[in-house]
Amino acid sequence: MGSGAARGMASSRAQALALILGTAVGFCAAVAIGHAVTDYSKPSNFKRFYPQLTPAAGFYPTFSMLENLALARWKPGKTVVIIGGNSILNGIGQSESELWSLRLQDRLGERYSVVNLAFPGAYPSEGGALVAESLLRQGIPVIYVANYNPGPVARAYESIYTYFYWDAFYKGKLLPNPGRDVELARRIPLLQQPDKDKIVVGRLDAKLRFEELWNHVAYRYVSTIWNNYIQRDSWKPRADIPDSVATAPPVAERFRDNFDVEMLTTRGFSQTFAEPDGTGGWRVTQPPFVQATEDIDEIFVPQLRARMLMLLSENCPFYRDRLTPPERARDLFAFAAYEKLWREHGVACVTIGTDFDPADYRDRTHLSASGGLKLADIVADQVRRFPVP
Amino acid sequence: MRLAPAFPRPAGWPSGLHLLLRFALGITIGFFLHYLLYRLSLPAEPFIYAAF
Repeated sequence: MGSGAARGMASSRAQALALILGTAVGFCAAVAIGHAVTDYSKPSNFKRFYPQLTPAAGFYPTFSMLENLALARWKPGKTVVIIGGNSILNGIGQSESELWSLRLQDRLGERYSVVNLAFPGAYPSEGGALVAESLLRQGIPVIYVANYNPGPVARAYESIYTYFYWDAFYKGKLLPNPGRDVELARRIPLLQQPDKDKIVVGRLDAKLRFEELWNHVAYRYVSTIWNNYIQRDSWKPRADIPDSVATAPPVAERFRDNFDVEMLTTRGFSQTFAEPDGTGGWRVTQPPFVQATEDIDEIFVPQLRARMLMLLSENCPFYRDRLTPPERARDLFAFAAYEKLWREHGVACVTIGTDFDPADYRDRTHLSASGGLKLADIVADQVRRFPVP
Repeated sequence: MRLAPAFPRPAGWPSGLHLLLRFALGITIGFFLHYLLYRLSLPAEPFIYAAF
């Protein structure tokens, strides 16, 4: 081999080495930045996760973002009121300025810090519940508010926002819960493949923090995922997209669409959960009731149940008032039975909407600004009943 | 007068600029691989819950 060829080989080797070294340094730097943003990344001027800040718009807020929002509002002497649950508590039906959770903060005053971590379609076991668990683990006083309807509760790792669970789990944020671990081990093999994939992602992200870094970039600087729902706004940093949830339309226009479908849903609302007892009354249907009984104990650790307020959401009276007397009686029975069930498991529980007007609703389920005010009053009253730690 | 370099470059060794450029390219690739993990972690199916 001539000296020229040897020199060329040495040069290529040196350049390859520089490239490999640079790749390793670049990757490690990204991991280190990801670890750093985990501690502080959160939406600015936060009031709620409006649709553009949710997976429906291609944005996946991390568990740390949620936790950072809650931690940023806490100071010694304060209790953090974490709102979880679905679009009803998220405030769909109320514009940002009408948001019920802002009214709740007004009513509760400075001793409490309210943070609305509800997501459209989320179950009470998801997002907010996991953050509440993490804060309790750190000894921070928390009251967790969620909503649901009569029936069994879905687990956080089998729900819509499954990734929150694995994100929190592999980052060591959850309280010990042997019952949940046993059930988890039994259920993991039964999960759908996309849900199993999220386990791998959660495990990897705990070390490599790619979710943390690039979601932070998507929020602050540039988003790189096309999304059909927000179209051309897809590339904008999510911080630049304002909350555009509209105020409810005039009452006369609210309940025109899909009347038959909504009426059908209202009629069948409690059908699965209560059945005639043969003497003109009602009794709970056993399989879902037994399931709900087991679920509550397994999903929510005792420390969280003691600091939790469950709201059971009634349908809008516009539809409810069109039910037959037996259908309405069945509804009332199911709500009362499940309210009692939650209480028996150490969870404060109230039904909301029973005495609301049609004008308090934006549609069959979501509340308007006036409904939000009533909700804030009910929740504030309930929150004050929890002992101050 | 031309001074000898403090760290003489071995015969056939590329210039510092070349190495720096390769190193910078490597850093970019490292970040890209990290980003690729993020993209691969996204669900293949679009998130369809949209009751807004």
